[in-house]
Amino acid sequence: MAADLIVAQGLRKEYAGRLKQDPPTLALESFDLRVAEHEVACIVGPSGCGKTTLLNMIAGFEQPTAGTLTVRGLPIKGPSPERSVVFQQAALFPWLTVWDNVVMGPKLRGVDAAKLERDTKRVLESIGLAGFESHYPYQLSGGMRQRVQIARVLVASPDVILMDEPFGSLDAQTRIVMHEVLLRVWAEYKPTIFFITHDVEEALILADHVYVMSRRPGRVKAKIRVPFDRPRSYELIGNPEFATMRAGIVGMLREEWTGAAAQGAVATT
Amino acid sequence: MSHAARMRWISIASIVGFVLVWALISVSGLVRAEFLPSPVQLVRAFSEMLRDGYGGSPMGKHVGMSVMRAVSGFLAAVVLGVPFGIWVGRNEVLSATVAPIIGFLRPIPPIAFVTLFVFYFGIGEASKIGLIFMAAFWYVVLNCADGVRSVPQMLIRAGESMGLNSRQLFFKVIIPAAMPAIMTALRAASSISWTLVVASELLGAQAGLGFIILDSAQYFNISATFVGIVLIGVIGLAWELVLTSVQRRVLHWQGR
Repeated sequence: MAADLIVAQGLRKEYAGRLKQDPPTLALESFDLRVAEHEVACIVGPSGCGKTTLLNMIAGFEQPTAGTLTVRGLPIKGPSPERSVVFQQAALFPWLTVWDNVVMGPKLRGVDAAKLERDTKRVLESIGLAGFESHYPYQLSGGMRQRVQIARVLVASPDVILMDEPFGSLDAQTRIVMHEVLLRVWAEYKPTIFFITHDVEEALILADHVYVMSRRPGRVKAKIRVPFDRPRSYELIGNPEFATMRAGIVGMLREEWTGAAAQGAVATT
Repeated sequence: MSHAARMRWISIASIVGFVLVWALISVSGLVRAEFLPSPVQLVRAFSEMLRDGYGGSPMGKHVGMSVMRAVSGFLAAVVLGVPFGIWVGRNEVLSATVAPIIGFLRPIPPIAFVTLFVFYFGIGEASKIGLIFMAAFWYVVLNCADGVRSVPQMLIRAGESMGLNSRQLFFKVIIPAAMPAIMTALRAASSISWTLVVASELLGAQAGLGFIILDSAQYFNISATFVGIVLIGVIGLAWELVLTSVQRRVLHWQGR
């Protein structure tokens, strides 16, 4: 087992209420998590469970209220190219070409130009963007834009790639293609991936471990090892064990939804 | 014929139709020629004005003076307003300071200040360019501040997580992302500048298209008044076309 890369211990995140008299919202409480190096970790949970809050804290966009959150044993001080983010949508710079979007970060950080050009060419090739270097984002489909976002984080060769429902707004076919792209890219570069989704099937296809979160305040309800061998393909979904695991996780999430619904009913009556 | 080409022909036909209706009305005698010159009279008046000038100055000087005033006010508003607006958009304290002042000034038509500006700055160029500048400046400031404020948070976060420092974030993310709003500000400011030229020339000007309009109307030289009006429209349209093409070039990445 590789060393733990991301460690959260007793993590707590509170948001102040909108009005002074409003109680604070507790997004995460007593939250523990360990993600190993080179692991693909998929976080699934009911909406509003604090998944995105967690990702934002790892990215350094937000600070925990209490508890510790470390990457390679070091506390997170703020955003860093070591923890690059793939956003759900619209995070490319529309005024830059595909190539310029991908090289912008490393270029401004002063990475050697020849090395950057080599790396970028290789990444664009392996992610299926060769030939699209001088396209602008408006000329690309949703799936192609997400490829650019993934290429952009890959050239930074970060400690961890944080992905916040990156394929959530794509149609079903494109999503399958993107899963295969991501599996291929992982096989080639072995990055640590922290992947948030609400799609259980997606989680099982991609992940080494699926972390099922409870409803708010979010905790890790279960950490499930996904046993399927790599390289994986979409044939996995025909595997009976896949179906069993899928049903199991959906069942766990369902308890959270129905629990939340019951709570909501009590709160509103 | 393509859809776009058909629409262009409709636009051309509209202009031709407008001139035809105008010619028919003036020929029919429904309106007396002293009040509405026919297109032919207008062309004749224009060629006479080109030959002899108007009010002792050649036409080139009238047009040149108006354009110079509008461009001076516009450029001053852009040069000072764009950086100031960006600063306002980035700084909450400054924004809170400026907001009530702009909020108060904005509903007042700039023409209301004409007499005051003449009183303060005299009948020379300062009062005219000053009036144009003041009106255009606030528009530029407001639009640029809005543009900077509405840069999507995701783009800023994307930049931060690439390791950009705050300087790089400002010049490589915020400014380009605000560019559409800045271009809108420039277009609005330019049309305000040109609109106000006439108003600014109503008091104390010895040359300019606004001067021609005011002066000729006082002498019932309605043809000259119309020549002045048409020139203002044509120059304004040409200016607008230039700015639209600049905008399209600068913002080509919007794919429009």
